[in-house]
Amino acid sequence: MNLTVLDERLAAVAFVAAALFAGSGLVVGAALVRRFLNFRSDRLRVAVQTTWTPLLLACASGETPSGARIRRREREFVVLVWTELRRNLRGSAAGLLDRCAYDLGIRAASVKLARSRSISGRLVGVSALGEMRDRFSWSTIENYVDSRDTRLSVAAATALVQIREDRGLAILVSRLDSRADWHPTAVGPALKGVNPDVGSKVMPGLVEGLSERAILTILKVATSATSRWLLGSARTIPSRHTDPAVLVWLLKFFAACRDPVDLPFVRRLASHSDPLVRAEALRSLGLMGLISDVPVVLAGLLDHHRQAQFAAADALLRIPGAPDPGPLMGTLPERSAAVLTHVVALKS
Amino acid sequence: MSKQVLVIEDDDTTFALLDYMLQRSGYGVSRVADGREAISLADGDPPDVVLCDVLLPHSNGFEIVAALREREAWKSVPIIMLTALSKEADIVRALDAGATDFVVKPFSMEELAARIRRVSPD
Repeated sequence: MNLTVLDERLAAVAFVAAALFAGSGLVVGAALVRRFLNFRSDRLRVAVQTTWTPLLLACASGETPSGARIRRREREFVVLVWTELRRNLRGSAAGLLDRCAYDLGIRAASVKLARSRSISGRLVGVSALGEMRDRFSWSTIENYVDSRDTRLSVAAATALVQIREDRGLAILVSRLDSRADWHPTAVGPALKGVNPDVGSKVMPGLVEGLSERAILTILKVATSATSRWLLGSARTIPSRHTDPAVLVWLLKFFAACRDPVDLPFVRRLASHSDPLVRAEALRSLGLMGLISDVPVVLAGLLDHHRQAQFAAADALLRIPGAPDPGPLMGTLPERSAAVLTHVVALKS
Repeated sequence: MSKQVLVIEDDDTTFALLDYMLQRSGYGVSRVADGREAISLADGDPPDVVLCDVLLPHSNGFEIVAALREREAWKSVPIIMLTALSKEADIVRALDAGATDFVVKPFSMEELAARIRRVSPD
């Protein structure tokens, strides 16, 4: 009886040990297969780059390469090489590269990739078709704008803007409210690449009724790009938005643009009820650097909020020709003088 | 002897483009892909023209240009900055650091070749 129990226990231990052994064997096997596939993919990528980069460069210089054929397993890498080259180029070479995308079958390969099941293939295909401004692929690409995959959705929106700026921009802006995963740095290139004439015509109408988050995304992109057409659309924002977070970013944006047209708005916000808005307005006045704004900045030094006082002190030191802080100290209340002393010490 | 162009660029695709364009125009090309290495070149003989990217590993293009300009031998070497940064502040910073010219990516091969010819005439 005892021997039977022992046998059963041993059998159970042996079974668990065998299962563990087989399991670890599977894990090791899978890791080895993955490494082999990565190795093979890297070798293929290098081989494609070595063969196709000179070919495409010759194409971009007006030569007509012959005998080039894209094999199925090379497809993704060839399209990737073409896209990377195309992104770096404009002018006549870019036009020639576009033409050879048709001649060498790269456009057809991109369409196949865009319609494939693999996310990486779709990404490569969609990005290439965007660079090609391929209008025939509009509906395929449009389907991916609402993809759950962030990279694919951003790539699709970017491609649509590249293909047809006005319609693409409308689609991109309309999704800014719902796509919390679209970071300003991700959608930035799409917005920055828009032709200013088209952007300034279309954008003011699109920002109507947008949520705070969407407005903030546009403002963050606009501030990093300081592009004129985005500036034009940003000017239409203040009348509709009173949210302090939006106003702070508007002020940052106007300070980056340093356009005198925005000064009345910035000055008005220096007496806003929200201390962060007041602080940002004072900082912006300092960056704009007009002597006529010194009285507003001096009033900011007397603000009851510490952040606004610091911003005013910083602005005072930035404005060329503003009063010297030394003699000013004696005329200020103790707290304001202490802030000014601190900022002067930091600056020196 | 052909003129030598030093390309300070970490991106392989951009370098391949520049290398192809420059060689076709008859220039000799050498490459550095790292900011620190580029600064260490200041001790050596300068090339005829430098094309310098801004966003590089270890040191950025502005620091490289400023470091190269500190050396007497590099003071008159034309340095063209080639970058995706297009803000006014970046252009001003590059010119203040000592760059001769500034070209924004994506670039036109013809235009870049013309700019190189202008800063380094035969």
